[in-house]
Amino acid sequence: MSDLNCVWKLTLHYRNYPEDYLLPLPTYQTLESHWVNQLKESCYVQHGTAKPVMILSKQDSSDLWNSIKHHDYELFWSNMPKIQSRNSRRLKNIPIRLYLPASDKVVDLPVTAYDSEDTTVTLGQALKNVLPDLFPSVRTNIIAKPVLHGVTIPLETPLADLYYEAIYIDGFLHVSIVLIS
Amino acid sequence: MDLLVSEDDSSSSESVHATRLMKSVRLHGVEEDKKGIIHPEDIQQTEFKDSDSDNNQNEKEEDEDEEDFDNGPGPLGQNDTPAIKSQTQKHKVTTSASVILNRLPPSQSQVVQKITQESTIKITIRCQPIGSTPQLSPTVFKISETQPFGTLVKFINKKLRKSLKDKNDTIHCYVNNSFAPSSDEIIGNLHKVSINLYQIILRGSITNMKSTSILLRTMNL
Repeated sequence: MSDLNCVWKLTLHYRNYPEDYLLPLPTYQTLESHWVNQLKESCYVQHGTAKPVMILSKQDSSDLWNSIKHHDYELFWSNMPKIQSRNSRRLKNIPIRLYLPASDKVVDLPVTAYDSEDTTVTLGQALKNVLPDLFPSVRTNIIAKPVLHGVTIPLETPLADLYYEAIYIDGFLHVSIVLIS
Repeated sequence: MDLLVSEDDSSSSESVHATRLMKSVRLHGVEEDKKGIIHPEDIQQTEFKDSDSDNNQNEKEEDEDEEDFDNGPGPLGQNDTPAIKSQTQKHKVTTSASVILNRLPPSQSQVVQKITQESTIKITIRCQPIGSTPQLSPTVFKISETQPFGTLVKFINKKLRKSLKDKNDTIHCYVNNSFAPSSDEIIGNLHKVSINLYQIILRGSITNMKSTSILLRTMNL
């Protein structure tokens, strides 16, 4: 039983589950309510209101949840555009979350799709704005690189395009920041 | 830049030479500041510097050859021009290298630490009960920006537990009447998302823009 070569040392806690800070033990129901609230939040970031999610018909919202449960890509994308704004110009903000390396911190700043001069904001520009220390250049990854869905995203990618192509099921773009060693 | 200067060119070569001297002096200044050590070969440059500064004071009309003679101790004497050339080149490399050195990133962990620094900013929270939820008093309080949302929910639940009719009720909190954030979300992040752009103007007497309204709702589980 006692293997001296083991790398991990695990501590098993069987009481005092920190339910104030972590999701309660996930059942489909708690997962669903958590997902709905995340969806509402991302919707709020885009539109300034969570109304598009609230006014979804019973059928549409259950379709959307079922599509996630059964990993049904077609069904998901037949319903998701009802929440998303069709025109990227009407997006108030891009719902984007940056996961910082070597820490448990998440940066959740509002980023617009178009700048004051009405040109598209690229991922590089947004990252340089938010994390100038990690992204000193708008074009090349020097210290860190952004990874989305396991793919390193080129910094020239316009945020609006990224938003329409690569959101997660809760409507956010979850971007991991990976340090280049 | 063409570094070869023939001594036959009279006026133009003089001016080129003067500017190059100026450059070597400037570059030399950087070099000396950086290292703080003077090498034997640097001594010659120091003298260049002196001669050049004198030169500036006594007008620049002096003859190029005279200037070279002023630098007498130089190993090459009258054939000083090639020596100056090579030095100029050498220092050029040094300065460009020092520019790159200035841009070298600080250690990565430090960068991350800097970003994730604890801040002391406090955020004003305003609570509004809806439905049969009892009133919270006071309705406005402050919380540190770095706290997770769960802390706030815990705090509100603790405050309201006594006044709840059914002890099994739990309080649900909604930000800006729209969504319930997950409990590990940082309040500062929520605040930025909800305030920076949408600028909620609160009802009642409080018109502080730096506040987030939170609705409380009881739900029977």
